[in-house]
Amino acid sequence: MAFALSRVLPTCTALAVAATLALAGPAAAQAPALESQRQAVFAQLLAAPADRALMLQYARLSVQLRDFEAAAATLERFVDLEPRNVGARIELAIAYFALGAYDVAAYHLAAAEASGALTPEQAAQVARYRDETAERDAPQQLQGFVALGRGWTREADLQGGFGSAALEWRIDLGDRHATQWVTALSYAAYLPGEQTFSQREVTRLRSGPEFRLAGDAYGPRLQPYVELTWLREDSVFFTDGYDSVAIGLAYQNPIDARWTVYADLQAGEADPVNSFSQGFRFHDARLGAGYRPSRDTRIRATLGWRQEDFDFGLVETTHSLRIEAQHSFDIGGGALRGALPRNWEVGAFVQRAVVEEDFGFFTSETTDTLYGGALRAYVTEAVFLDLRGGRMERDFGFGFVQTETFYGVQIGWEF
Amino acid sequence: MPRLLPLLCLTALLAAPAAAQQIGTVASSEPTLRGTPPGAATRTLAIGTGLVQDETVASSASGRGQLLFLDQSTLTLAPNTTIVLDRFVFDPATGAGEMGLRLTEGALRFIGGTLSRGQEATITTPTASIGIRGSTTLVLHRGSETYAIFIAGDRLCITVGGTRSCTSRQGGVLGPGGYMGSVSGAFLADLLRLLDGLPPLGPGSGPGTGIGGPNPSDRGPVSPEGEEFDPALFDDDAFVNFLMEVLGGGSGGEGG
Repeated sequence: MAFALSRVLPTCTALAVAATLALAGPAAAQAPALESQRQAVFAQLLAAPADRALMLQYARLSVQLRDFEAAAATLERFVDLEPRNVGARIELAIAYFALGAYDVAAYHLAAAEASGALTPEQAAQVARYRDETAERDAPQQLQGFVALGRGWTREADLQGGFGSAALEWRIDLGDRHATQWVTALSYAAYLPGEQTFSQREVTRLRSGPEFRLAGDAYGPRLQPYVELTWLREDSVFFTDGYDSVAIGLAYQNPIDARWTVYADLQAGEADPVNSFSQGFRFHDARLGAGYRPSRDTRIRATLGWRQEDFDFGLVETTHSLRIEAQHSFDIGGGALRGALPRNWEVGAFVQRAVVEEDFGFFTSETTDTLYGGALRAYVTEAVFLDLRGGRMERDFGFGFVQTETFYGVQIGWEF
Repeated sequence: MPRLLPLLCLTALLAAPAAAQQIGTVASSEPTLRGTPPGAATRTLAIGTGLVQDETVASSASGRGQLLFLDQSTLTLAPNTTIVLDRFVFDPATGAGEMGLRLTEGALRFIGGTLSRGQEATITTPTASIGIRGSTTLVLHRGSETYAIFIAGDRLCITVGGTRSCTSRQGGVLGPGGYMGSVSGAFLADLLRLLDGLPPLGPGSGPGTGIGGPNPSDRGPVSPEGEEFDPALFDDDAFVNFLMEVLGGGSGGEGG
C-alpha cells in the first residue's frame, strides 16, 4: 500500500494544485459578468426601489461579489418594507456579522429572538450566531487547535505518531484603532515508533502588539514581536537542540479583495542545549503575496531567505520559494448529504529550497524539492480528519539524490 | 404673448427640479418625508421620487425614510431629521466623484457605496465635519453636539474646532472631544430604534440572499471592498518540518 501511495502522490499533488487553480479560474473570470449583471439590476432598482424581487436579486449578486455592505444596505431597505419578516432580519444580522459589525448584528439577532416567531431551525441558527457574536466582540479572544496523528515514510520505512497544537490569544488594548496584543503559542512533536531517527519537539511562543499602520481597519498591519523557540531532538545517543530568542516584524496588507502582500523579518540567537553543540545567530526573511480569486480559495507564493552563522565558522544560507493553494468547499445537499461530512478543504504545495553551507575552506550546496497535498473533512463544526502526503527530493549536487515519501492521517479539534 | 410670459416662467420654474439631474431616489418613506429642491416648492417624497442636487430632505416627528443614491449609498433618516444633499458628483463609468451632505438636525445611518470607497464622503453638521471612508456609520446631531459611530468599513473621522480624530474600531464613538470609546449596547439599540422604529416581528422566511449558512463562518470580517486578513500566513508548516526531519536538516531543519 505504501508503495502504491508513493507512486500516485506526485499525480495527486499535481491534480490538487490543478484543481484548486481550476476552481479559482472561473470564479475570477465570473466577477466582471456578475458586476455588470448587478449594475443592470441596480438601474432597474433605481426606477422601482420597492420591487422586492429586484432587491433580492441585487442582494444575492452583492453576496456573490463579496460586497456585504451593499447586501446590508439592500436588506435594511427590505426589512423597512417588510418589518414583520423575521427571516429577512436574520439575514440582515448575518450581513453585519460578515462585515464585523458585531454590535449591530447582536441587536438584530436579539430582536429576532425576542419576536417569538422563529422556527426551531431559525432559533438554533440565531443562538449560534449570538454566541459567536458575543465571542468576537469580547475584549479577549482565544482560538486554536489540537491535532494528533500517525505518519509513515516509505523509503526510510518508518512510522510514528505526531501531534501539533496552537493557541492564539488576542487582547484588545482599547484604543481608537483597536490595537491588539497577539500571543501565539505553537507546539509540534514527532514521536517515531522506532529509534532510528530522532524524536523532535518544537515549542514556539510569539508575542507583540499588532498595529493598524494607516489607521484603517483593513489597511496594513504590523506586529513587532519577540519570539522564543525551544527545539529538542532526542536520539538513542543524546539529546540535542537549542533555545532561541528572536525579535521580528510581521507585516500584512490586504491591498484589495484579491491580493494580499506580507512579510516576516526576524533576527535572533540560538543557544545549544549541549556543550558539544554550537550556538548560532540567525536572520530570517519571508516575503509573499496571496491571491484570492474567491472567498473560498487562497493561493500564496512566499520567497524565503535564512542565514545561520555558527560559532565555529559555518555559514548556512537557505533560499526558498513555496507556492501553496487551499480551497474550501461544501458538498451541500444531494445524495451525499448525511453520508459524508459537509465541509471540506483541499490543499497542495510545491516548495524548492537551495541550502548553501560555507565552511570557509569548503562550500556545499543541496537542493530540496518538496510537494504535497492534503484533504481535510470537518466531521463536525470543530472536529476534522486530515489526510496528507508529501514527497521530497534532496539533490546533493554530485549526482546523488535522496528521496523520501511521507503520508499521514490526523484527527484534530478546533476551538 | 405678454400675457403668456408669466405662465411660461412659472412652467419653467416648476419644471426645474424635474430637469435637474437626479442623484438618487426615495426607497422608503413612512409616513411622510418632504423634499425641497433648490428654487422649488416643498413636495412630499413618495417611494420612487427622484432626488436632486441641493435638495433639502426633512422627516416629520413621526416620519422616517431611506434614500438610495446613484453610487449605491443608502441613507436612513430618523424622525425630526433635516439634511441637504449639497454635493454629489458621480461618474458611473469610472466610479469617481464625491459625496457630501449637511445634517442640520436629527440622526441618520449612512451605508456607503462606490463613492465613499474611493475617498471620504462627508457629512457636515453645524458643529462638526465627519469623513467616512468605505464605511457604514450612524450620526446624531442634537443641540450643538455631533456624535458618530463607526459600524463597519475602513475608517471614520470627525473634525471639531479644527481638530481631527479618527477611529477604525468597530463600535467606536467620535464626539466633540474626539474618540470617546466603544458604544454601549443600550445606546446603540436606542439609536437603531430611533432610525428604524421598534421591530414588529412576525414569522417569515429569509429572502434567500445566500448570505450565511446555519452556522457562523469561522472567517474573520470582510471589508466593504471584500478585503480580508489571512490568519494562516505566518503559520508553521508542521508537515513540511516533519518531512525535513526524516531526511535531517536541510531547508526545513532549523539550526542546521
